[in-house]
Amino acid sequence: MTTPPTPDTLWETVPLSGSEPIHYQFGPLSVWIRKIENDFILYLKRTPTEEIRCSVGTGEIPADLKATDRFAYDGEFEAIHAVPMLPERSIVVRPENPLKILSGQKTLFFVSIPLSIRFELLQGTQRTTLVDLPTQILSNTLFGDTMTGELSFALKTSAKHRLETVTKRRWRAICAVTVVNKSDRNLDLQRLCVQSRHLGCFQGKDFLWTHPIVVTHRSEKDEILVTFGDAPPAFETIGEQLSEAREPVKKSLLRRGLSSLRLPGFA
Amino acid sequence: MEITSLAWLSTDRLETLIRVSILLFVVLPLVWMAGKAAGRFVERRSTPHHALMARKVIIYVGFVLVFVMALTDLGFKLTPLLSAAGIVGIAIGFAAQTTLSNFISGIFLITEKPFAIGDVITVGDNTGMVLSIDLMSVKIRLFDNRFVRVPTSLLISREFINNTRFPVRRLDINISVAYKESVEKVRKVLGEVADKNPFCLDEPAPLIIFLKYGDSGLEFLLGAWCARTDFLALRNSIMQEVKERFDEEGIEIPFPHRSLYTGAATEPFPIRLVNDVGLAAAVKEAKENDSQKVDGSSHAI
Repeated sequence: MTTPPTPDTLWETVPLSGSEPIHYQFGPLSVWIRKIENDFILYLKRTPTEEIRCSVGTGEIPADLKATDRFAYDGEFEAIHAVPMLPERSIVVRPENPLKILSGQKTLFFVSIPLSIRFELLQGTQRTTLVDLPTQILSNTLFGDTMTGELSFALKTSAKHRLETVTKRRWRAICAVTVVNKSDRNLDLQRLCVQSRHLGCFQGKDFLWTHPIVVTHRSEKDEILVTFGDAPPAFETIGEQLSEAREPVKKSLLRRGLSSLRLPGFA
Repeated sequence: MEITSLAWLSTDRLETLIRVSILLFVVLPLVWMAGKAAGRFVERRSTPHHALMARKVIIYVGFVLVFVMALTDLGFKLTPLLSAAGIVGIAIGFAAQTTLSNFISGIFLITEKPFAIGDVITVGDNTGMVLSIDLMSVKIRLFDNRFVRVPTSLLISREFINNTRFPVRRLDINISVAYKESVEKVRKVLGEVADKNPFCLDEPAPLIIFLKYGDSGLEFLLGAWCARTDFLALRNSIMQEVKERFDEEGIEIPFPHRSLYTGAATEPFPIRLVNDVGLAAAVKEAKENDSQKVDGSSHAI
């Protein structure tokens, strides 16, 4: 029997005992949180996207770095906790190569989504959100037409067909998207929109995973059917669920119009 | 005969007074609260505009009913009052055609829904956020925090622009570069500027159009799309970034200029080129000429 993977140390609780600032590094995002009397002071630094290191611990704040934010409090917070959240806006991604899905066939994509980190302060069992920070600043894009389209984030990386080709990053989560073409025509797939706010995050053996998604295209006239899986994906051994979706969907099936999930060419 | 206050306050009158007091001091506030509650209820399920309408309809109708009931209780005969009101109404109708026009326009505007509360609209020279849409007028807060009341009849009869109807907007910037510049290079630089700007959308892709051969340079149009909330931020940032990148790349932004010819288009002004020594001598010579002119003029005086 395979042992479930233990959560990454990044997502463990860090006690707020000493006066030294706590330093988190999530790839391109560096955060220092200093606790002083009645205030939390946040220092933020963004490095180029190529930065891949991830760490947590105490660390000196660079001398030239100015405070980004201050948060007042009057309680006694014992610890801080980083929670991997999926972005609030939908993510638009292109496949590696433009492709057509044959009628009656399906295909699987792996989309690597940069996480947003929610820092929570713990006071007994009570959790208070300090701040929610995206690890990577993504560019804006529009999914759909200019009158009814959905404002989304654009991914520069493409959706991959094979898991082996997905680069392992501790600050990104993989979403497995299956596109099913049930129409009687070939489906010209140019862009995919992943509604990440409906996805939770799981600890996998090698990757972080989100709930899987199945997108079913029936015909040009019909709405696209999006199914959000309620169990973790089965591509590797999965451990505990690290975060809930921002907007959980009650049932795994969700019917949405073309404006919310569009496969161009059929718009 | 002396009427004491106690005698005047007979049982009937006391009852009437109590009823009227209840109407005015209990029912009226209840109508007010009911209107507010209805507004909140509608707002949760519909737009702020519908909520405002629901609140106003309930409050106005309720107030009228309460006053009619109070007047009836106080012994006023409403039939002659209503007849008189009919005659007065016709008279007022003639006198208040503009008001009536606004009222009907308001109904059309509310039915048509060309904008909602919170939208940014441009009416004539005024651009601002819609605060309320009433039957008679639309209230707008301009961005310099002035208040404008626009009669609904005006909005029905002339065009206005709703700047925030759709989720995205395009910012069009006209850019002129010197004739010596490479069109391809200018296109590339503009594309890179738009690509790097965080407010500019990837899709729809920025529009770069070589518009025409202008009077002073080659004219381009850069059309960058952004979320409607980022319009000003995009405008501020991208204008600066274009200038900075053009400076870096040595791309000249020309200013309007004219070529003058002395009679024939092919024969330019005669120009004498001088070196530094020659220039110093020329300056000295010019100064001497100037001083002689001044001397001459002083003699003339």
